[in-house]
Amino acid sequence: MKRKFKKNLLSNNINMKEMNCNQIENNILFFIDKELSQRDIEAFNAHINHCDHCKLLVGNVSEAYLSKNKIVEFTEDPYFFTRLKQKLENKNTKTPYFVKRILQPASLVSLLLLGIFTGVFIGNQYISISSVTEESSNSQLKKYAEENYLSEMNNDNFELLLTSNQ
Amino acid sequence: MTESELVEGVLQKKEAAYKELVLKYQKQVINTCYSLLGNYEDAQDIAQDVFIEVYESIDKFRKESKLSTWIYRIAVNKSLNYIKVINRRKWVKSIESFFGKENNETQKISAHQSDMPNNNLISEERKNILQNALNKLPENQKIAFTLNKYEELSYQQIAEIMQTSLSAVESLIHRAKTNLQKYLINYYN
Repeated sequence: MKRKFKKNLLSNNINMKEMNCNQIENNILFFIDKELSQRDIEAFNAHINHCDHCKLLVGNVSEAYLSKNKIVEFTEDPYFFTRLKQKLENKNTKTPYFVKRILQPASLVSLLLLGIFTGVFIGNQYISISSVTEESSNSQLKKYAEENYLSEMNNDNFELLLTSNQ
Repeated sequence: MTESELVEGVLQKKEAAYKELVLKYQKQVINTCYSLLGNYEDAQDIAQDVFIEVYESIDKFRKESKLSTWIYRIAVNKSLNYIKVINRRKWVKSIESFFGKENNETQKISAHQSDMPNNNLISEERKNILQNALNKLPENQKIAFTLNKYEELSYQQIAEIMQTSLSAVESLIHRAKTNLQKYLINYYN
C-alpha cells in the first residue's frame, strides 16, 4: 500500500484563488507528483498562467526532476551472471589477506635486506683482499728493486774506483 | 522455484538456484544501485558485489523479512559504502589538484560530452543537475526518496529495508522532497 504524505504545511494554508511566487517555489515538486489538493492545483495553475518567471522555473525543475525516470529501465545484461560467476571464482582463488598484506611485503623486505647485506659483505671482502695483495705486491717490488737495482749500485765499485784514484 | 527453495538452494551452493536468484533480482538490484550512484557502470559493479555478498552470507538471512527486502538492504549498504569511497577519492583528488596535478577525469568527461548530440547533452545535463541535488540530501532522506520514487517501493517496504518506522519514512520522504526542491530552485534561479 502506497501512502502519500500530503501534509504540506504551506499548501494546507492556501485558501486563495491564486498562489504567489514564493508559494509556487514551495510546492513545485508536490505539484509535479500530484500531491496537492484540487484547490491548490487550481491556485498553482492560476499563477503560472500569467507569471512567466514561475512558468519557466516550473518547466526547468520538472524536466530535471523527471529526467531520471526516463533512463531507469535498463535492458538486461545477458552476460551479467557469467561475469558474476567469474568474479566469485576469482575471489575464491584470491591470495588470503595474511599472505597479501603481511607475508608478501615481509618477504620482499627481507629479500631487499639480504641483498644489501650481501652487497656490503662482498664489498668488505674485496677491500681486505685488495689491501693484502697490495701490501704483498709492494714488498715483492721492494725486494726486487733491492736485489736488482739498489744492491747492484751498492756492489758497483766504479765510484769507489774513481775516488780511490784521486 | 519458490523463495524458500531459492534460499535453500543457495545455502547448498547449488548453481542453478543461485543463477535463478540472480536473474530474478538482477534488474531490481542494478536499478537500486543506479538510483543511488547515478552511474550505470558503477551500479553494475556494485550489483555484482551485492550478489557475491548474498551468496556468501545467505546463512545470515533469518527469513523474518522477504528475500527481496534483505537483498535491497545489502544493495543500499553497498551503494552507500561505495559513495563514501568515491567521496574520499574526490577529497584526495581535490588535494592533488590544489598541488597542481591535472584532473584527467574531468577532461575525459568533457571530451565524452563533446561527442554527444545536442539533445543527449541536454538530458545528460538535467540528469546531472538532479543527481547533484540528490547527492546533497542527507543519507537517510536520499535512500527513502530514491526507493520510493525510482523503485516505487511502498512506505512499508522502505521502512523494513531501512529498519525504521512508517512515520519516519513518510517524514524522510517529505523532507527529501522539500530539500530537493530547494536545491533545484537555487540552481535555476
